Amino acid sequence: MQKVYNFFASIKLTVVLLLVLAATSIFGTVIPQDWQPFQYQQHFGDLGYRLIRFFSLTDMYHSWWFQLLLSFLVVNLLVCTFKRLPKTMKLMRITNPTISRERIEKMRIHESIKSQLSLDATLERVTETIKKGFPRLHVVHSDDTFKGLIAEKGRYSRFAVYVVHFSILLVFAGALIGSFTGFNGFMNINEGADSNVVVTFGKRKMIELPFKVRCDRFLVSFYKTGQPKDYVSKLSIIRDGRVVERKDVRVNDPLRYQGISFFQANYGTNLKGADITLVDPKTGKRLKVKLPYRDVVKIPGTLFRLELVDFKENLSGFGPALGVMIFKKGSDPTGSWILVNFPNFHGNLLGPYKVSVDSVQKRYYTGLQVKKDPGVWVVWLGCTLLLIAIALTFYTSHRRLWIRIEAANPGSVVHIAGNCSKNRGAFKKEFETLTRDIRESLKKAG
Amino acid sequence: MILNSLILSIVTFVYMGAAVLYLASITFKKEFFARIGSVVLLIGWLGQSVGIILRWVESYKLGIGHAPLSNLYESLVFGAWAIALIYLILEWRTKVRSLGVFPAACAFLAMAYASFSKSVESAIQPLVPALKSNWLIAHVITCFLGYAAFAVSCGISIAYLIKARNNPSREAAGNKNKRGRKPDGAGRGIVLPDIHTLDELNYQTIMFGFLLLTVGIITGSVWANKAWGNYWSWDPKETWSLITWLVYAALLHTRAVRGWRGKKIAWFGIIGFACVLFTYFGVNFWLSGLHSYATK
Ligand code: HEM
Repeated sequence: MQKVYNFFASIKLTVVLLLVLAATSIFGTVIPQDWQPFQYQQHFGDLGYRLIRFFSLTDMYHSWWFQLLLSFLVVNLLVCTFKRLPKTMKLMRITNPTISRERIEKMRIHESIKSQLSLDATLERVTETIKKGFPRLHVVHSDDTFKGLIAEKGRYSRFAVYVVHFSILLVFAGALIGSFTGFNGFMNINEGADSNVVVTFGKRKMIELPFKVRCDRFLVSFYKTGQPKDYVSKLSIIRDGRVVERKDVRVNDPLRYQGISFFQANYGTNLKGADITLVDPKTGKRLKVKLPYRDVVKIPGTLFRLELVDFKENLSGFGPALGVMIFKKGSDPTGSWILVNFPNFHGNLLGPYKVSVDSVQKRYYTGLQVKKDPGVWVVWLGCTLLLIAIALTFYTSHRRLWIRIEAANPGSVVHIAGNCSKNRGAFKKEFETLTRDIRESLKKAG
Repeated sequence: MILNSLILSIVTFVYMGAAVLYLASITFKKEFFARIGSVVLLIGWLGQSVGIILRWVESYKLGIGHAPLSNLYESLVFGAWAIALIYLILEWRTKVRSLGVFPAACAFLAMAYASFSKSVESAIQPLVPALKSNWLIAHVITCFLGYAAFAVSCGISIAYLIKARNNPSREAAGNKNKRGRKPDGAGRGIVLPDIHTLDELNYQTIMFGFLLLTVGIITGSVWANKAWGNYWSWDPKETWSLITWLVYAALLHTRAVRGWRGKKIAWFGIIGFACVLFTYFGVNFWLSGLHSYATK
């Protein structure tokens, strides 16, 4: 037990863990994390792929060993805090208030100043000068022969590093809350349609939302270069048949509703319907038919039914093509690819009819990323604290002055020493200024 | 050539001049050259500031107004600007003028690469929607100030190692116990400050860089969360900035708690900057991800 405790109480472990995390993180940046198995096999060979799979490198930041390293870091952090916090608390208190001359002279930064004034008058001048910079002033000894003072500031600076570490734990906690109680997926909604099903990334789980999202309009504008400039989905949230929320969603400007955010992620077009003309080769009769996507339509005056089931932008180099099924009672349904740009193509046939395409209607769909992350506020809290605490750790320190004012004949002598928790260079300068001020104040009075 | 590009190309040569002057000052051990070097660097930096502002204004005139931080060219230019700025602040605060070679050379190389490489497109380009965000601007600025501080720290680390080799007997062997010895400031006549000052300056610079990198990573996550709905997605660039952060965090721990000083910290500083370089160039050229817009 003691061994385990010592293992986790060591800063050597911290440094090793930080460096090991840094080094192993490299794998995940070199090996793509979202490939299909065959892609890894092609790229890294059979053995390579087996190694990659053995070490879970296809999703290494969620692999057991990476998570284990992170939990070691957490335990390390907790144990170090537990071990060091009492010592730090002790350093924040003044445990040994004796102010002997030897003690002052042993400190690395110290100085003596002669004063013409009496003991009490000197004490008054000194406290006045010091109070501005060091508001916490304790008189720890007072008699006719000498006065002992301790002045300090920035006590809580010693504490800042614990806040740094605590906020790192907060960030971890927020991430955990998110991964256990949130989800992250996508939904594609056609313009004019609605949906309440989110498919998660990765595991492809279906999640049903307790409300529907409708895409009322989708608009996209382009730069002259052809790059998209802006795209907007006009979304409505529908609950129990009523619209309860409306918003124009853009990249960088999501819709948030009941802790769930809808981000504009991408967009595309898909088929809405087509107008076609059927020609009966025997009679030469022409028939215009409207085919909505995935709706079975009867050809008027016949027993045939048609369904538009598919669309290809480019079928084997012949340009756009419609996939249409034809049904007739009593025989198996058959399907054909109808070329849009070649109305006289010999394959443009449906049952007995020759087919040409008059127009194809497409509509936009909006690709939304849907995310619920109840932990995100904990993460931001952790980040904010982390920043403040790092700044305090780096740029503040606990500074103390130890002062002994002795009665001399005539006048008195001020022995003054200082120490600080870090950044001695800056403190030395401050100390020099301070002693100069004391000297001047004593001289002026005299 | 458009005015801003012209100014920025001229700045490239001004930075080269500054680097040469700083080099001359430590080669010939003459403070005088370094003084001129500082002035030249400052002039270059001011000129570059004007160039960047003009470019910003021009982008608005083209109707695609955005802060000039959006592609490889603009980020290289901003990187050079940030390095010159951080170094000038360091010099102004410490009055140490002998550490300018590396930062000035870095600024020059970044500018030269931006201005003269065929593969870097310098035209002002429109922004794709995801990049229109104030968080993104904050992210780029803070990251680059952090990177710039690490570049300066790398220069100080190199200076430290050179100095420590030139007077080995005075080397504080990276150990707390041996601190406090006073080396003779003159060394072998180089105008570099003594190794303890170098070590302290290095530490200060790294702390500043670490703080800004932290701000940079966090503002980047806020942006990613707003734009993509994920504050962290282990994209290669994100991951490499985290790797850099971890390396510097390890450095700070070895120094603050294990008392490492001197050579070890100097090597750490150089490795850290290598991570910065990989985060910036390596990821763009070899790895793909969200940030690969920067290669275009
Ligand atoms: C997870 C394991 C970690 C452990 C066990 C750990 C432990 C410690 C300890 C014991 C100290 C010294 C406190 C003192 O001065 O008494 C320290 C300092 C510090 N730690 Fe950590 N730490 C960890 C991770 C981190 C991380 C990830 C960061 C990143 C921000 C960090 C930032 C700092 C800073 C900034 C200091 C102060 C350095 C200074 O005084 O200049 N720590 N750490």
